Amino acid sequence: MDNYIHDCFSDAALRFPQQTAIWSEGSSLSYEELARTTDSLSQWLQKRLQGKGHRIALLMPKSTEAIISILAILKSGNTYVPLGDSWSDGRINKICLDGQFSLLITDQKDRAIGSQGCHVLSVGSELWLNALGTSVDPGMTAPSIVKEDTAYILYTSGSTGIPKGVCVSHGAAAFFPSWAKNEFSINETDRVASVSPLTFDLSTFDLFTSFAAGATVYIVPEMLKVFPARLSEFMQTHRITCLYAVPSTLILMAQRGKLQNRDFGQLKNVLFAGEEFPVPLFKAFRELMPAGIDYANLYGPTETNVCTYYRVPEGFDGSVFPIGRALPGTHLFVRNAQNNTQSGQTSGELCVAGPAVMSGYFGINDSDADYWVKNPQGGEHRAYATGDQVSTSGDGEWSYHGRLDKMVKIWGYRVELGEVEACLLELAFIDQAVVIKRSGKSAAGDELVAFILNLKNSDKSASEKANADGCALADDESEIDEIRLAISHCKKNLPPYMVPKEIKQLAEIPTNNTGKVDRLRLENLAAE
Amino acid sequence: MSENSTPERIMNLICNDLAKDISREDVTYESSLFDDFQLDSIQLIELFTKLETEFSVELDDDDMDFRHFMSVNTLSEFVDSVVSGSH
Repeated sequence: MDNYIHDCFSDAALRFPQQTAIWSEGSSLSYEELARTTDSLSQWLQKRLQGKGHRIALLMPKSTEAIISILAILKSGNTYVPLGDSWSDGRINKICLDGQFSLLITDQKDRAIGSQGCHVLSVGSELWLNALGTSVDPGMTAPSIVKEDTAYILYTSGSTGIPKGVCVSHGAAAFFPSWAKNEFSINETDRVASVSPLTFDLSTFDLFTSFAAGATVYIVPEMLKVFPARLSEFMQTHRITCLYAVPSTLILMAQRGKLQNRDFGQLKNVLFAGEEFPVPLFKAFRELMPAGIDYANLYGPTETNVCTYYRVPEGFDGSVFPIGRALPGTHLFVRNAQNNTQSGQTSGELCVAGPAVMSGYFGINDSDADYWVKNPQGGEHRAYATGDQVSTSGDGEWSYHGRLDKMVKIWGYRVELGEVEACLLELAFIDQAVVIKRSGKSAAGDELVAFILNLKNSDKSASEKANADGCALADDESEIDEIRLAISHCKKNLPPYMVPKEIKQLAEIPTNNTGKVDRLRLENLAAE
Repeated sequence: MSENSTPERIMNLICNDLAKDISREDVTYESSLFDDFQLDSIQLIELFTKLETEFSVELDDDDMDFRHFMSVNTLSEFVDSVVSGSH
């Protein structure tokens, strides 16, 4: 048997049939039940779709049904593509056009999405119940899956306004969960809280590491993230042993989670990734938690999955967390501004070659793309250039120093500011749009602020309103209506975390002496 | 209702600071915070802090529950109960 993620699950199901595989509000499934149900659905998919390699989209919250679908899709040799149920219809339609799905599995069939002509399997329908209930035909042969076949596609923000689908092969998908299982000693006694949505690569740890180990996945209801005291209560009630979350979630728990009143005696691993965890806030969190918990900072864009890790030592006294060391079999090197990747350089853009790197973006013929770099050490894997600035001290430990482009993180989610700008520019009355990230103004953490320019308005207002800075803000009625319209347009076309919290209309977008947009000045303006 | 009533103050907080694309005329005290005001989870967190400042209270996180965050009216009852110390 190969060690693909669904094979690891099947193997655990043979070893721990009675163990609970998934716990969710109102329903739980044992490994044996989950194996049987997913075998049935997998055979149904095989018969229905003919052949392997179909892309199947999932539009539903993280649930028992979603996980059944994922395992069945993998077993049947097809590719699962999670769509966020909080994403707008506009974004989902764009992705359906891009992804050319053979089937959409959803519990929201009434949503106003075209699904672009693909078939729909509605969760809970008669068809669904039949597919799950049919007894498994022992005579039917399972598809033969090779490591290059795509296991899943995760859509992330794209700078041109179209989300990009990161394709992860079966070979790549298997690497991180199996490493994490050994590194963090996850076994069948573990209870793993799954907080991240399926669209986020953190969820692949929750599911596939747990399933490889025979552990139980506890599906945390989405809304609990907003009620940190409820989340900490959930963790106590279910005696959670492992939590993998973005720092934003942990910071909120430290601030409002009533951690001092909770008993976390069972918790042994807290892993974080997706954004930087400011050390003082980490320490505030750790002080409220019992001693003896292992903390680790995991790093890696969706394109490479986790490629470095840093286990936080007991007496850590640094001012920032390093991103740590490369995972085994993973080769890290840097390229400088002249695209030079000569060995011996200690700082520059991080390039990653290794078994977990993506196969490419869906539908893009990108073999010549700038982000593919030849691995100077040779080997079977080409390297992906991450756009992240890093340095290494030479002892194998790496540090992160920000982005080279306009990508930011909001709650650990990647946001290409260009995608938000492109969305605003779809409106006829917006002539220029610049989006920036603002920190420290809202209790909820970092947020986006958009500056827009309407030449028609700025002509008439330039004379009357321009202050010494030339950056007069809009205040009349029609401009307020335009701002309202702009926010509403973003909500219809972008996921919630990408919608600007504030949109300011300017008489002129400030530029610096090279003629480029003066983003620093806009950041100062946004902070006012 | 008067401008100083609890629901009206909460309504103003939400319309002026959070749901900026929503017109006051399109919503009522019974409108759903999620479906009608379209507040997302991050905005809800902001709303907690704004409520604490506006009403000079400390909201006990142990008392916070989904059922308080259904509409302006349910929020208003919750805030009133905290202000009067009955919670």
